Amino acid sequence: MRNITYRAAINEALWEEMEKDKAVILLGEDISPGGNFEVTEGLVDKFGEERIIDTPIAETVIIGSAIGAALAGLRPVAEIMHVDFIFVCMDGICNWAAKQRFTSGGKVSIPITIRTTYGARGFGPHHGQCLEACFQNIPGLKLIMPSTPYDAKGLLKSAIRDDDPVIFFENKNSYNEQGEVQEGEYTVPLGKADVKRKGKDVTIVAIGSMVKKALEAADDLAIEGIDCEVIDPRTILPLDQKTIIDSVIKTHQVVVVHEAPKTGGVGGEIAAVIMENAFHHLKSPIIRIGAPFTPVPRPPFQEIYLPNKEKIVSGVKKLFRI
Amino acid sequence: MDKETKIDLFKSLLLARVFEEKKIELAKEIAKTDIGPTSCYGQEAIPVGFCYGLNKDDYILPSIRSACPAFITKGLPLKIITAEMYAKAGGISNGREISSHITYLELGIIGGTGILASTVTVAAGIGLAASYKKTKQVAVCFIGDGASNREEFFTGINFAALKKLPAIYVVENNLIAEYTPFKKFMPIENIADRAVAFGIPGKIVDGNDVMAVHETAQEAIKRAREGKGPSLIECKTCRVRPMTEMKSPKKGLPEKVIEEWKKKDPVKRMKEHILEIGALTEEECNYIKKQFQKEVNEAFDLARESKYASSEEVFRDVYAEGEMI
Repeated sequence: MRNITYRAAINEALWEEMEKDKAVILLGEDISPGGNFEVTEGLVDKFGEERIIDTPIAETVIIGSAIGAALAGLRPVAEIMHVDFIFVCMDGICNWAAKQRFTSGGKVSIPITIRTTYGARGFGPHHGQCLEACFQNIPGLKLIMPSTPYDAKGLLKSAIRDDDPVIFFENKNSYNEQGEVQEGEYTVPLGKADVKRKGKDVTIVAIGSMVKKALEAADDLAIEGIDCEVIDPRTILPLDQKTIIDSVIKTHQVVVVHEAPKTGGVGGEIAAVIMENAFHHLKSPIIRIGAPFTPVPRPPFQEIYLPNKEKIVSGVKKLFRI
Repeated sequence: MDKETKIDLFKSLLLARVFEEKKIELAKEIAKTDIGPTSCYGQEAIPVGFCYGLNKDDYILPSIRSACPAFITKGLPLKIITAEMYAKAGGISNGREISSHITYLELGIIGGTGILASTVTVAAGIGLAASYKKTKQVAVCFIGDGASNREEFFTGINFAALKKLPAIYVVENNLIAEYTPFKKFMPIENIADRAVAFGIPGKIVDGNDVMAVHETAQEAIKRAREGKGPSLIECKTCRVRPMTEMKSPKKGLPEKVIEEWKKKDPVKRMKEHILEIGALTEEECNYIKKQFQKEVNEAFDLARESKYASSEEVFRDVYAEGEMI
């Protein structure tokens, strides 16, 4: 298998889906010159400005017109440069897209994919948030947070083909990371977690950017004789509860970790699912690791703010009273 | 405009009026299962004038007030609207959504959300798809004077103008938004003047003259179909009813203003014209009205007698997979 970057994997998914289906169009700010993160590079040369549509700086237009185009039979992929900007167009996402199937008696689909970026990168409180939890309580949406190039490509292809509105959260700090991605056609199904490392002593459920940190922590902990299982849910909605619960039944101990603030984060929902389904298998309380409940600061304070390998290691050690 | 078109327009207007009268009569009952009826009484000429003559596959995005006349003129069966009002099976949403937000793709009817004017960007997106697929379809988007200050009004029309999309933006200026009169929220006299900022035609039309509305609509629709882009049309009218039929009329426009506008009632004016040119007789008009009343009554009776959907049927259709996840 070849190695390509997270960025290239996403670009390939867009390229292949646009080649396959003429109903797929792209909408966003600066996307024909490649977009702020160069993810859509080269697509306009192949598919033209008719399908790679640069919008004015107006997120309401990006999402609203994507919804309109979907109602009229297209399968738009909308890009919101930073997830922080998504607050501008919440009505489109949460009221229009998420509810049309329900309000139309199941007859209308809004098959849009919203690509956006999350993660602290020295850009401060308005360009570095992780907002997946804001959408977790909106029925009708599907939420994807891929952690590797392989998953990013396969999940984006599934998202574009899916008939429901999907938010696809790209980790802006992962764009240059390399990973194995097979050539040609494959998809990764929504709602299927991936066991990124098998282990027997403790389950670490890690979201998005934290998967890599959790694997690093697992390597360190292995030296000390603690065998971690690392689960990457990959999709927050739908959540693959079974894979998580099965792992907990095996290991009896859990750490949940995400980059977003711990309070009100996705980790709370995952912990509750475990409590409801595997309480009697737990040896100790579930540990949640997330950012503090403050906005995202800039470096050097960002490093203190973010969860990392060390915080995960000490979280796991707490379970073992080390 | 030929005689046949005039008769048709009059009939559409009359049916819309009869439906609005019934809504007002049954307001309390409807409000038990639906949002308090927002009557279009006195403003029917705007949705009727625009929707009459549209193709089946053209799109409409009505405002909360123009919804019923727009649905009816676009061809939506009355019984679907009434079933929706009474939250019964046989409607669209099985009692989930309010009746003014009906989405019915077979007739190009797109229901909005509670966020007024959010339809403006959606209409642009429909136009984008129509223009990409070269279907010559148009999207007619209705908003009120109050919603004309929302950001989507500006971003949406700007985008439609930029890409020359086949969207028509219709402002029903009824001089009041909820409880706030026009002059208290609008710094300009004419909303149509804002068209200049987008480089598109901005027209003002007497919103209580169905023939004038229809002619202006046809011009804008033709322009949109030819790929020349959107238009902004401001229809001047007056809200002669309260915000909803459950609210106090005291919080509406002053009685004096309403009385003046009632003299310009669109149905009355069109009927006078129809009689004047001898297109129909008084007896024929009365007969048509009676027929419509019968149809409307039947639709409401059917809704009352219909069953609710089962809870199993209501709590689904959240995802394509058919169930909650």
